[in-house]
Amino acid sequence: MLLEVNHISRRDRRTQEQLLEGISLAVTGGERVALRGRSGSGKSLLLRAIALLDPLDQGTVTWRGENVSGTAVPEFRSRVVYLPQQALVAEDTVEEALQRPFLYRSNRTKTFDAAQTLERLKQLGRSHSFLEKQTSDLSGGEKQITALLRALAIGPTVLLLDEATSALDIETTLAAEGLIDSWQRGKIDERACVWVSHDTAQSERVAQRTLHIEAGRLQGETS
Amino acid sequence: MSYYPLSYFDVALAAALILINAIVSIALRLRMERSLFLASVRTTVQLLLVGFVLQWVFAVDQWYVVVAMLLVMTLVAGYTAAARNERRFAGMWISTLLSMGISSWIITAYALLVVLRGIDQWYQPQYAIPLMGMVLGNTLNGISVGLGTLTSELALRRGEIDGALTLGATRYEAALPILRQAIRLGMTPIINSMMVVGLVSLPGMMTGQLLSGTSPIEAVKYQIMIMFLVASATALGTVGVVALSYLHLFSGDHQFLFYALQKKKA
Repeated sequence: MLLEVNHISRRDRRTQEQLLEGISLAVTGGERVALRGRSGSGKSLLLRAIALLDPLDQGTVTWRGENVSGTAVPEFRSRVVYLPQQALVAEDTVEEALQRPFLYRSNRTKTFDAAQTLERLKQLGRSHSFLEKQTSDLSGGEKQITALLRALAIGPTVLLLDEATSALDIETTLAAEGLIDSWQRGKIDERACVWVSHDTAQSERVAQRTLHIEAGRLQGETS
Repeated sequence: MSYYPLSYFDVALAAALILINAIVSIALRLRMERSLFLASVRTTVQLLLVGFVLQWVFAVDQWYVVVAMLLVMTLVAGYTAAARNERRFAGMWISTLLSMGISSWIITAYALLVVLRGIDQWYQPQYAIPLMGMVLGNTLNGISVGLGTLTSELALRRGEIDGALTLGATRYEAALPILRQAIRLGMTPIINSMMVVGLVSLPGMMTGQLLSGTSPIEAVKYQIMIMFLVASATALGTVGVVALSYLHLFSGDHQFLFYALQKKKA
């Protein structure tokens, strides 16, 4: 088993509102899971919880059978990458943004594959000059492209996609799905992704099974 | 050189100058008469009270009285530095007090025990109290600016920090640009004043020594010492408060505890 989430719960520290309640799920290599639910049902919070981005009140996340906590967390996050809807790119140019993660200790052994990134850029219909763009000039969709390329560049094992293509036109969206598909096929036994998308058609295109969440609880599964 | 002691009548002559402010306020209808009156009374009463307390501390001349006085000064400075901040988090008061206390006590101890090793007693109030006062006053600014910058930048740049964490950054790697900025801004005012001291204005302590008849070179030597004490205490205090706050705002699981950072209630 690649990734397991065991009975996680989380309350809002200020309002005491239950945000996630007793959620368990497992993701194996090669899987594509969709996570669906209404606005405010806890989809994003669940993806953030899987990436251990917020403190949990209860429950654990295990990676290849081992509990993840403390100093193991950054390394875990470099393998299980959470992609938010509003990707924030703080560096000056797109190229700097793409290279930044390689400065982190957990990615130290990896190297930035410029050729592969250019190839992916081309698939998304952008040219080399995109790399020199100032990040302050990027549109919402271009920021999502940058964030996706940046996540793929560090060679993750699991992608947690939180409306990560919501600002892209349909052609670019399909191209992005294609990129994620070919990334996964690169090591099909190992790699997995979890999609949150409001777009029913997209969920049906990309996922083999769908988890439904409501008010912070998993409500069942369809395939 | 002789020293001319002021009588209360002399002081009253100076206080009469407040009439200028009063005339301006009335003539231009600034409606500042009340605050002017209050400010004048507070200036006089607060300084006289401090004068009596200091007079007593100097007369008693016991180490525990001096230390108690320094403790009270430290607590007030620590409280002021934290109270000004726009945001709150669990651990803010202790972080501020600790960094204020440790930095100013270490530096003042160095001044009293090492630099001024020739004085009769280490706790001599004539040295200990004004030195501590100046160190605290300046460290307060550094801590206040450092804490303010850290908390407002963290709140503002939450997405950037989360972005770094999601790609495998440790909490330190994610926070480092903001930690640096907070420390740099905290130390900037004292460095600026070291740049222009003597050129733009004469520092208050040096002015005081000159008025009391100390020779200019002696006064300047003291002022130089003070500048270095203050600069080092500010550096220690700023780094301290930024580091301790960082440890309260990021968890051991490398999470940014944004929810812990609350806006001050108005």
